[in-house]
Amino acid sequence: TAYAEVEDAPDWIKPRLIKNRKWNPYSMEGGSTVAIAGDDFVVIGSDTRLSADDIKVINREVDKIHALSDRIVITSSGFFGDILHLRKLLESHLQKYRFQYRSNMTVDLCAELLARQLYFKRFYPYYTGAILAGIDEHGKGAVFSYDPIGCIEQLPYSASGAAKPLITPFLDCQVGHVTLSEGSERPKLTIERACALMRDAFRACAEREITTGDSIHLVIAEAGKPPRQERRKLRED
Amino acid sequence: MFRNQYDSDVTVWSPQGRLHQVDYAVEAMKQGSATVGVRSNTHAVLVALKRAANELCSHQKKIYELDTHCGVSIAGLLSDGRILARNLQTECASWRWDYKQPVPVAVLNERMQLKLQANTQYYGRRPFGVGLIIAGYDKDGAHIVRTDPSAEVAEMHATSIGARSQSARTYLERNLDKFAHSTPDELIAHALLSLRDTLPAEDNLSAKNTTIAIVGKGTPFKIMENDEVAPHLAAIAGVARTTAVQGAGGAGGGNPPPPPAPQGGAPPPAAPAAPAAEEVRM
Repeated sequence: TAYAEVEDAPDWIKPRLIKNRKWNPYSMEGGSTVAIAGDDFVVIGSDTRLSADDIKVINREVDKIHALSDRIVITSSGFFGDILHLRKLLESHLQKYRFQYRSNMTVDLCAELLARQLYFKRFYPYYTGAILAGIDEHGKGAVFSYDPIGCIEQLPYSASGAAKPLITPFLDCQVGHVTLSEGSERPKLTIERACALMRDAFRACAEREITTGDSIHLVIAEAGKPPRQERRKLRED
Repeated sequence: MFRNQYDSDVTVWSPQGRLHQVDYAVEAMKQGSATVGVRSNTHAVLVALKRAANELCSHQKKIYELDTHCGVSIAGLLSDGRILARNLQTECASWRWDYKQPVPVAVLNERMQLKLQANTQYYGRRPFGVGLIIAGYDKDGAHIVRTDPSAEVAEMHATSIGARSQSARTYLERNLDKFAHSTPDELIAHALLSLRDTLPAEDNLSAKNTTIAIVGKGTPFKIMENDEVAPHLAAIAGVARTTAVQGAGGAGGGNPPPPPAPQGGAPPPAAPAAPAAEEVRM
């Protein structure tokens, strides 16, 4: 409308003040992450691209998955500054817990802790869709999914980020068997199958989604073993 | 010694220029069970004797991890020691939060010194009745730091505190030139041998009463107890005690260096000479 130009940059306000008012504390760096929980393992995957303004590529080799301990892995998408800060925050809490209680924090406690930390910033949120994954005390895989202000849900699988609407239906079909036809085979969810599904999902996103690409970073956490990592190349466009 | 007149407060000097409360606190430290710290160019080792009050008790925890690159061993009032260890843990975590790097040991020394000194100068406080040995590895290399209730914080090549620690210090002084280039296992052996000297003749180090900790280049701080201690004790089992009956140059078996042979048949001193009693300082 005619007013839009004036609203945007009024003559009677100084340019510096206009610029301050327009400043956004958040920026979205794009990309996506996924986590799938199995009987005694959990597979977490992400792409490794950071973008600006959806179109410019800032970095092609960024780690979005971070292992906080042998049994707990945090991954997130959204504003990268907040992602980095959340890692620092959780690491600090895990360390303090270890010194106070002389044992490592379990994944369910860490999940509640993260939900609380996110809600503490209810009125100036961490702009991230966090996923916490790990092996619980019974040796089973667990995936916890969050919204930016700490709504927590434990799920068998979860996706987050720009390609969430593309990956989630794919996982609903192949892992949750929700939309799979009756006659189709339902193979058991092993680590190999979970990794293959992840790779397929990311390749699908890289085809159709602008901010996902460059390479896939997979972290596989199994009960009783330190987390292991895999990387595969993806489309770079 | 009858010195009751000037020892009611830590803020009262005696005519001889002593703060008696601080001296008494140092005595409390000397009653804790012994602990030894030794360093080479690349590693720092702590060993500690865990005391159990009686058969039914578990042995107390004497070594605390502060961060991946440093740890502390305590002698004296262990509850005071735990507070200091927790304070140091907070300092380490706080530095990591701000700078994303492990805290330099020199910074820890400074903070510890100020915290300890505060309790020796204000009315109503009492000095911490505990001595610490901090072992750390940072970009300046390996460190062993000794603290006192008197707020004296000093970097050392090797030191020992606690009951009968003078015997350990004698061993350390005698073998000082061997430490700089020792391998980690040799360093642990030296530390254990010096710790063993603090025990009465009929007692011995065992997997239950000994804790070992090591940190250094490529080695995050690691505490070893019970089963993990046994191989290191086995390695020194063949070495005769320097404070025991002197056989002519006890031949140590295998890895650990043999204790020094007495020179020219002269018997080694049963009690250390006074000047040599001072711990080695940098």
